[in-house]
Amino acid sequence: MTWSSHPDALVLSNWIDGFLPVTEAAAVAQHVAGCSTCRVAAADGLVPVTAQSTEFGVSQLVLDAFASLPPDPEPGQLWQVAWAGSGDLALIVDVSGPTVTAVPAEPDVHLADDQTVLVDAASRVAPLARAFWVGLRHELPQRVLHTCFGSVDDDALERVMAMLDGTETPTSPPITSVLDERSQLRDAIASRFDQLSAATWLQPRSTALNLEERARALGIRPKRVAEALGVAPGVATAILRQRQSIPPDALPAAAALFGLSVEELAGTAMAFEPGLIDALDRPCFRNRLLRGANTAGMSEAGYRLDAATRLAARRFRSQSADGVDWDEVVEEFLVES
Amino acid sequence: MSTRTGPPPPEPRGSGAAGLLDALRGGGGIEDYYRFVLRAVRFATGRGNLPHPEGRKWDEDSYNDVAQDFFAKDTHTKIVSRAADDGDLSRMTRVAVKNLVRSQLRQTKRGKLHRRLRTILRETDDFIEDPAGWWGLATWTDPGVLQRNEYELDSAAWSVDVTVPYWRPDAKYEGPLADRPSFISMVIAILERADARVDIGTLVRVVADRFGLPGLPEFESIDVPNDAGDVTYRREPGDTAASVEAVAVAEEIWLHQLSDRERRRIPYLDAGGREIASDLGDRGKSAEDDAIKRLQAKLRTLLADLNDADRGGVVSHLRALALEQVEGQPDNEGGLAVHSGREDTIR
Repeated sequence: MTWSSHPDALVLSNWIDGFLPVTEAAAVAQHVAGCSTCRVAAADGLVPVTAQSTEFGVSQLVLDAFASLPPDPEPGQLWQVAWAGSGDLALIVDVSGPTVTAVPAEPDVHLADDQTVLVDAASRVAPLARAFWVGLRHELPQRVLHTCFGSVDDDALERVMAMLDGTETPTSPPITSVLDERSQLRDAIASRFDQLSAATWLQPRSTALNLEERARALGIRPKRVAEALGVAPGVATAILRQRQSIPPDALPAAAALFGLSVEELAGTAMAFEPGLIDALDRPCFRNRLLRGANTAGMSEAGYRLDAATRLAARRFRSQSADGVDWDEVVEEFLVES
Repeated sequence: MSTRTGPPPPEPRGSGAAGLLDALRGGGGIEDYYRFVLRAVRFATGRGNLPHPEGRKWDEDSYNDVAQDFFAKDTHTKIVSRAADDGDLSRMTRVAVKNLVRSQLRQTKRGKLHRRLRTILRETDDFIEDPAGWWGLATWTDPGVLQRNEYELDSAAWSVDVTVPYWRPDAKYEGPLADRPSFISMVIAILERADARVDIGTLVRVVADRFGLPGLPEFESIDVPNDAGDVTYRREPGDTAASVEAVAVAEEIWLHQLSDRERRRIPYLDAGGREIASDLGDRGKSAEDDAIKRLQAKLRTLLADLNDADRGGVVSHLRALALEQVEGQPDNEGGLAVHSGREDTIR
């Protein structure tokens, strides 16, 4: 990768701060080395640190929260929600199994709409959020919950619940035009929460394809699958029952064996037990899973899928009786990792 | 090409920056982050090409002033609490800095509004000012001071219909936000909702928000990245908001800026004098040539602030309005052939 023209200011700044991917950073470095214009521009961006910078620190409320083990979610708690490079704050108003109902929690009181509850500047969470966009409530999977900043004041939660019930009097004017700047803010928040609602690490499972039935129809026995894919017979059986994914390097051999394309086979992801999914999605495990993903150089979603595949395969091999404590299994996995 | 030799290539922070968010959450990294914010300020101001809010030149001190404001508002805490990763931290910080600089520019418009509002209030018998500078209605006997959340007053300001005086878009001076009676009605509505005396700062804030001069979101972008990751203004062609805005501008021009004669020539923006003279039969070829050039120049001036796509949208809607007018004329039941023009005529 090379830069034929000057990288723009944003690219240069990202390069200086090390936010560029390795290949792009190398290309920029090569360009800057040979371009006096960009050297001047980049040097212009390397600003000396002033003494004042040390006066500012991140609020202790935030530091304490990130240093603590997150609790299980409960209504009234303010959480950082994040997934795949996009983060925000949300107030939980309901918890139902693996999902929570949450409202976006934003700082801009002057840009609220008529479905937003504003909390007082003296509120405990006011340094982080003062506008709760009740009209943009979303159901979020627990897997997006990252850090808990504690509970909001009772009065604030009561007003949010009243707004949900339609009994709270609006304090801000409604948004009636797309030319109203608040509509852009609302759309941006809604779009981010739509993405968070859809956050998943589970691969879509093909419902049209049943590998076990196809193997039976083709007269393919597990032993042959094991030989063709280079896996243990137990693993071959697990693959046929779609309890374990086909190893990526064995996909071409499997495709040839079953008379399918690699793409069709890739859709036959295994179905994980709900208990395993829920355990991996618990906020208390998230930071350690993230660290594991960073160490392994994988995405958070990819690492969880990999962990789930391994844990499910381990359980399949052990043939243990029902009643597995998946939290314990995940904890053991994290300790081992 | 610059003839400056320039300093040696700077060393990027490289992997050290990859953990900036983690460092901040651990209580460190603030110097690196301050440096990053300062750089974001330079870029947000186009390295000093953007006007300074106070009308002076950008220098190291003023860059530091913006960075200090950023930290003084505790924006960094809000960003650190939200960011998903270092990339998100970078994006949110750049947006926050850009919005902060833009908001500071809006403050100058608020300053003008403050002066105008105070003048109107002092010249109107409906209002009374106490020694502390708080305003109430003259009919009140012993009002208290505002106790409720000032943002509850916003809907009162929005409940008043506002008359915006006609102002030429290419006028040398900026027009007033609204006429005097609108300001008076709005302040009366606000004070009645408050049911108490309100300080001038709050009145200005509420009225400014009503007129679209609010501070920008702290770190929410009103620009959105496209599929390629480039940031473009949200109101681009194809976006509903873009067409609505284009329609609004087109209708404003159609109703207030064009003469009847010019409206009839809108479909001919890309045509020659001969064709126009032949179709309309008003004037000769040369006169029509001059007239269409004048109309094109006028539209260029009126649409100078818009990007190409929005200009195209406005011209397209102007043509639609011209078509509606032609089709709506009683003597055109047979369906007069309307010239089909191109939207890029005035680019």
